Amino acid sequence: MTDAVVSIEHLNVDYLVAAGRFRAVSDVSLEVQRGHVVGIVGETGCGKSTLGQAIPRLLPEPPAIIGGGKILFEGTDLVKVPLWRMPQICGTGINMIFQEPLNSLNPAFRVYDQVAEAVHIRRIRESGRPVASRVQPGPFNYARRPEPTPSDVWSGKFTPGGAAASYAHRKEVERRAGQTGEELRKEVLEYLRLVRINDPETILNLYPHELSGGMRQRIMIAMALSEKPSLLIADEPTSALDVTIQAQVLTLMKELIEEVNTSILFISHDLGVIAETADELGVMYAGRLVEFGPIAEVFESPRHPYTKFLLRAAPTRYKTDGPLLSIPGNVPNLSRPPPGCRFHPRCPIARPKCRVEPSPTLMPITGVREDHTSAYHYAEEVPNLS
Amino acid sequence: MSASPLVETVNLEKHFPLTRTATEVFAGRSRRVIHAVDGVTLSVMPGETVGLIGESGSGKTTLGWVIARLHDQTGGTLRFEGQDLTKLDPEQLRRWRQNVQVVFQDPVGSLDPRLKVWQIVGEPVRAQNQAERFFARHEPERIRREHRNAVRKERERLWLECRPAEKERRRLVAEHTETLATRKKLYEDDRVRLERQHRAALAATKAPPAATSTGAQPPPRSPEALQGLRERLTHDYHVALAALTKKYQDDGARVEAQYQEALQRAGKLTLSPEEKQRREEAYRAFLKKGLPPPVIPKFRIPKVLRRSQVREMVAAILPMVGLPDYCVDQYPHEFSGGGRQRVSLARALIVNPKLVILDEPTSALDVAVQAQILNRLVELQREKGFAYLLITHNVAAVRYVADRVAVMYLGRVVEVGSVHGVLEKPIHPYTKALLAAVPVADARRRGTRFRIGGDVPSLVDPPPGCRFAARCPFVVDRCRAEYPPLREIPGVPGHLVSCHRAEEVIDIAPASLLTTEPVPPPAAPPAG
Repeated sequence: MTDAVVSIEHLNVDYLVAAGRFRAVSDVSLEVQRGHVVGIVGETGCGKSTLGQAIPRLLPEPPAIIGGGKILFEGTDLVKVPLWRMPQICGTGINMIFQEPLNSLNPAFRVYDQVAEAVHIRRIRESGRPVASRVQPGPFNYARRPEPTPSDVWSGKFTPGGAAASYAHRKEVERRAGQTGEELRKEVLEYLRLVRINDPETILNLYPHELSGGMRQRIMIAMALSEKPSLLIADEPTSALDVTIQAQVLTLMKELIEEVNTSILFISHDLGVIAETADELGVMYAGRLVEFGPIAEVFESPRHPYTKFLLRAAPTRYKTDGPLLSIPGNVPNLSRPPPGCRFHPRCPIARPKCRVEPSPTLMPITGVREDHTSAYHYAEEVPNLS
Repeated sequence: MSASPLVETVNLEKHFPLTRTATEVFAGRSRRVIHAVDGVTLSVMPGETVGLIGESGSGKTTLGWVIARLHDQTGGTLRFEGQDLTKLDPEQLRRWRQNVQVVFQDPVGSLDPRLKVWQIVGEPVRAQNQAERFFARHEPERIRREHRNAVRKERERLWLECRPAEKERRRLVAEHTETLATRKKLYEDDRVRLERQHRAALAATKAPPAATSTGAQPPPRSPEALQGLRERLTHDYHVALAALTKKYQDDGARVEAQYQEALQRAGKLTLSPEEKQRREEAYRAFLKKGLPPPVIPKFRIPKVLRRSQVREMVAAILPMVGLPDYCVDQYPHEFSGGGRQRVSLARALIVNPKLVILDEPTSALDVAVQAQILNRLVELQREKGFAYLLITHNVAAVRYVADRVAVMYLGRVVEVGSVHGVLEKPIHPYTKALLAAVPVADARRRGTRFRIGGDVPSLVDPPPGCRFAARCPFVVDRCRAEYPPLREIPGVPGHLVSCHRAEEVIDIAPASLLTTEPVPPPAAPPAG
């Protein structure tokens, strides 16, 4: 019907913990349209990152368990895809940017090596060769020395160590990627320029720790984009950055969306950042998507008390204007989620129905645009908190 | 400003030395330093909140650490309640520490995972108890020692009064030592300047010839010509260096001669017999009588705090920061991010400090918890009258908590003023940029883009002029050459700005630094 890059239907993700099942994501349905940016907001511990990592199946399973639902990515249900096939879908299809750019870049390799790896893996994929082998190799036995047979040496399966080995390795890499080192270098430089890095020739030879936080995050974006993904999952990409650097990165991402035409699932707890980038906004609370709709619509007339609280908690006033509005209490323990609406213990306007009846799944709201949905019993009214 | 400030810094500096490589040591290069805090003048009044905002790497945290005396300053003065903190000895410093407490940046890293909450929060109390015990035990001895020193000094002074020649000789020696040191430093400065000029000239020969303003390219020079040029430059450098050394040596000989002559003259100074007798009598009288004995108050040595006492104190402080008192026996990992931040806060508040330095207290927290913590901070200040130094890059937090705001950029304060003044009507271009960059939860701002690019320049060789000049949209030549001192802007009392063009840019709104045009990518360098 619509042109959705990924559509999630009734997804449940649980963690097995000592206390039983921790329902991190329950019954979430979501669609990301092609070329759109979908923002996901919510407090810490609401299942935003779990949702983001469940899509490319990056969660360690177990303890995580995808307990039901579908993740339809360009027609394939990722829940049913065996894990060994995921590397073929990740990368060209789905890519992630993580919160901590220092932790996600390898400190032992230069910037060039890391970006070049991404580029040449894409080349290998495009050429149709498998990226990951079907057989997962067992743990490497460091005690065993390789003992090449004469036929190994003769047939070229074994190459001696040292300079000759590195030369042979380079040739092998070039053969598999179908491009020479010079071409690869040019392409890497092109991507670094795309993410507005000044003097990329120098930056190429540096290690991640020699770069500032903003530069590192731009390198991550360059790596993600060099694979030309159709879906980019950005998990708090600017939380570790300063305001001005954050503004630069956001500006860059906005421009790149237009140039590369990717869809982005943008996870953040900062409503300001989301407001600057997203087209649609989903609000998560305690593992559930409680509201979803076009961003202007959700900001103008939130139809869930939690959304309204989040919007009003951002400090925008002076000390002399009275205390900030904060949400009382904490996110519930999801091993034993509260009955009824999961927000009702903290909600000052909870009614008897909220305490008993589980909140509905996302429903279109009568009286507003049909793409604005909410999981609130009384979504027709704008919640009045004051 | 009738009240005296609680903390006052004047041109405070903190420079971190970089290690030199072996080649640099042999080449005789001077040690390079990172100018983390470079001349900050700031004051915090009692019971006031000062917000310190700026990008990372601007020296906010270092300034906080220097004020808390966790780093030693390398220059400038730091006063607390009018007392110069550099004069304190380690034990006095230990006793002083209860006045200033810090809530550290990373709530995970700053709490020891092996200690329970009562041990973590009770630690400052125990340290304070120890310091007080030490003070009470050793203070009488210190007073007596100071008295002895005073007696000795007075005796030596009276003895010298009887011997004018010796007195004059000592003065001359001290003066001469100082002169020698100054001259050596001047010579060293000249030598380094010469060397730097020479290196720059050599580097200029290696760089590709720059296009002149008329667009005409100077003709390319052949390698032989370049080599010749470099040899000539090196020769000139050595000649200049030799001349400098010669001048210094000649000067030195002249100074030495003058010094010897003065010494000879001083040796002949004498007193009239009656004056001499008068002074000797005064000296002998002092030997007999001395100074009045010191007054030593009675110090009561406090008892070592028992474990149960510490636990009680911790249990009493926890409700103040919004934690239930049964938390005393929990470990830090049992808390959420907000809970850990509250534990950090309790640890700072338990000794009842006069100033709390809050280093990014809410940056790791989400909006809902941030609002809770900020509310608590403001309530506590109303109840107990703490002064806060809030170090953060979160403008929203500063807006809510601060009374005054200081904006830092590259180790210097570029703007100080009331929170309304700075956030509603910023004057310095950097403050404008910072405020324009803050994302606002308003979907109407979507089409806009941030216009100020570039990264923060290096703190090792900071530019001589205004430090924001490289990124400033309103830059003129004067900004690059000359550092704009912090000055009050006419018409805006109490608002200090360090900008040459403050009067011209005062009316430009921060939002005008946003544009709807895409920012062009940096031009690709020419091929080859």
